[in-house]
Amino acid sequence: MKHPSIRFRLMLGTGIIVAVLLFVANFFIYRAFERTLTEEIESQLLQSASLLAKSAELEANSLDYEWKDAMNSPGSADITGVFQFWDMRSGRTTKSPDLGDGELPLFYGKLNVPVLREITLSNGRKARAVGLLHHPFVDVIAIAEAAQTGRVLHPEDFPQVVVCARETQSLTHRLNELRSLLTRASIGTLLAIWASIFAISTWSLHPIRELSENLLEHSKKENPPQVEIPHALPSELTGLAGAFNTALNHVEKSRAREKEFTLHAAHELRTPVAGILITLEQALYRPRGSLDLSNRIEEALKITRSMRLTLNSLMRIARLRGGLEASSKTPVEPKTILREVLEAAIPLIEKNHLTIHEGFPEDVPAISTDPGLFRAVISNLIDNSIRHSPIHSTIEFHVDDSSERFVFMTINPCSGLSAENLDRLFEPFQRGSKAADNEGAHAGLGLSLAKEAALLMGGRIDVNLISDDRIRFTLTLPR
Amino acid sequence: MRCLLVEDYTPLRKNIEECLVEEGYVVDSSASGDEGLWFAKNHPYDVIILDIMLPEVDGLTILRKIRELQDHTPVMIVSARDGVTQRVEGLNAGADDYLVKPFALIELVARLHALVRRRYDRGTPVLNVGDLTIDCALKKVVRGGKEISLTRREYHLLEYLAFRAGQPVSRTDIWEHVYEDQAGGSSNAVDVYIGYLRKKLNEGGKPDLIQTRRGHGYLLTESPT
Repeated sequence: MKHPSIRFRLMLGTGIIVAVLLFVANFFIYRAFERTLTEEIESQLLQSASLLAKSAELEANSLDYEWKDAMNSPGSADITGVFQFWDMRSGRTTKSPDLGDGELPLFYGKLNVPVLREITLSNGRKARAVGLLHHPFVDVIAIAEAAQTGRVLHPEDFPQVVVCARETQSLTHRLNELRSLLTRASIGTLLAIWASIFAISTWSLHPIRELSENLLEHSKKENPPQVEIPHALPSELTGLAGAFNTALNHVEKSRAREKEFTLHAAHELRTPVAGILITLEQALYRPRGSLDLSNRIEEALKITRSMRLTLNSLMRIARLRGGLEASSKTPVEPKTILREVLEAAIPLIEKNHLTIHEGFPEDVPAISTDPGLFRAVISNLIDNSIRHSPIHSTIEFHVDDSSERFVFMTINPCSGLSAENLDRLFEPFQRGSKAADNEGAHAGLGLSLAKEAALLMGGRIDVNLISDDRIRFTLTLPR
Repeated sequence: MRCLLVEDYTPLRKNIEECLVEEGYVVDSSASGDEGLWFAKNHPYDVIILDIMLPEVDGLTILRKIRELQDHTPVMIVSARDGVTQRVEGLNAGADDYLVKPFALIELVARLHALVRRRYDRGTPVLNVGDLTIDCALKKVVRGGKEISLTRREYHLLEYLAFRAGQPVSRTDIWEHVYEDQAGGSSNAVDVYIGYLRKKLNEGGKPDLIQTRRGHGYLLTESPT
């Protein structure tokens, strides 16, 4: 399965975004430059046309084009390009020397309103041209001279058109150069960005490789310490690495608990087997009387029965955990079962001189639950309290039916427990040191079994220390 | 020989104790780690049998504490933990042997004997002092080619002296390592049984191999004075 690459995404995404930005920017730069250059040319053309228009002077006897003088005047630098005059009255045309044999197209707009146009010169090159319809300049001397001959000079009778053109090839060349420069700059920018992304991402992601190596080393060790998080790991990933470490710690703890369970299971199963073996070997080690032999065989049988109980409990826990045991709900009278279990425990209670305080309400409503599982849970909880209470101590059993749920509590003395490790009491083979019977009949599976059974009934068992030396187990079941 | 047995599983503890007593050991047994540690610190033993999974204080902790006190008493661990790591851990903690449950009783006894022999630097179960031969495996005593019949108490007393042959052994030592009932008895009983032994061993005018060293106790030696 191919996984997405951060680096590839960065480079692709950044490339696209930067490319679009650069394209848009370059477009506007190009257009602005083009417009500036065009405006400059047009401005020059307009200025030229204006100057040339003023060079057409109407005199007493003729129309004189004084553009040569204009060309030699201080303002001649402002006359650019080629030009051509048309006398609209006579049809005569005059053109700049640079035009040679070529002709400019005749175009114009309204009087004194210049018109700009793209044209093609006779040499085939593109040009920008301005056409201006205007009237010639008439000075007072010319008017006076004409008046002397009885003529009245009206400039409007001598409309003139000047078309001034400037080749735009250089403009095109400059724009092409600009386009090329912008393109190269854009490509260079993209390449620089990609190179820096690649370098920075490689540098930033290198600690991940180091973290991977640390993880591999960690996986090879037994009881490894926490995985070392490289100092150079990006801050965006430290949270993930920390969470990973936490998850690994949980896995290590689970592994440690599994290992401990296996060790405990080995001990709890092998020890009774050793007991049976030693008992029978000792019976046969020397000649013994029949009564003695009978007692030893009975002892071995007792151990066998105890092992059977342990194995049955283990199998039941496995079935409950694996969801292989089904539960059925029928109305159950909790107080009846409580009484029965307590009565069965009387011999052990009396043997250990325990004082029992019962807090059972007068009427405890029936609950809908699996009777077998309910009895198993109650038996294990009560049995656990009795077996872990020192001789002459006091145990309390309470039922709380005030809520919508059935609540049963056991409170008994305890020692050497801390609040942080209470949950471990529900793990298999956790047998307290004060267990009154260490002959293997109770291998530390009762609470584990009770918890699984409670869960199957839709309830739960909680445990907490109500003081330094008293512990409370609370069974909660739905009604 | 005196043995401490620390095992919380009652059937195992009772049967092993019974077996060892029948083998002639004086056995102190305990079902909990803290009591077992108290026994180990306050009494001299020739060998200790130690379970690991004990209530209160576990076996490895007891072992480490014993070794911290420079006590070199041989220790045999008996445990259901059969993994290599656990066995190595036990041996590295100072154990002299590691026996995995379930085990054959006869093997336990044989290993125990081996540990005791090692403690007294004896390579074989046959002890020779001059013309006296004691076969610890067969519980047979022969002097000058003639088998000597001893009571159980006489044999164990002689065996203890033989393991420590060449060293003076105080009455207290003999009392603690050979007599089960140390409460209510007296070391005068030691003198009485030494007398019985001398009579049987020296029968026929043989030289007395048991010497009395005033203030130090008794010495079994092949060089009688």
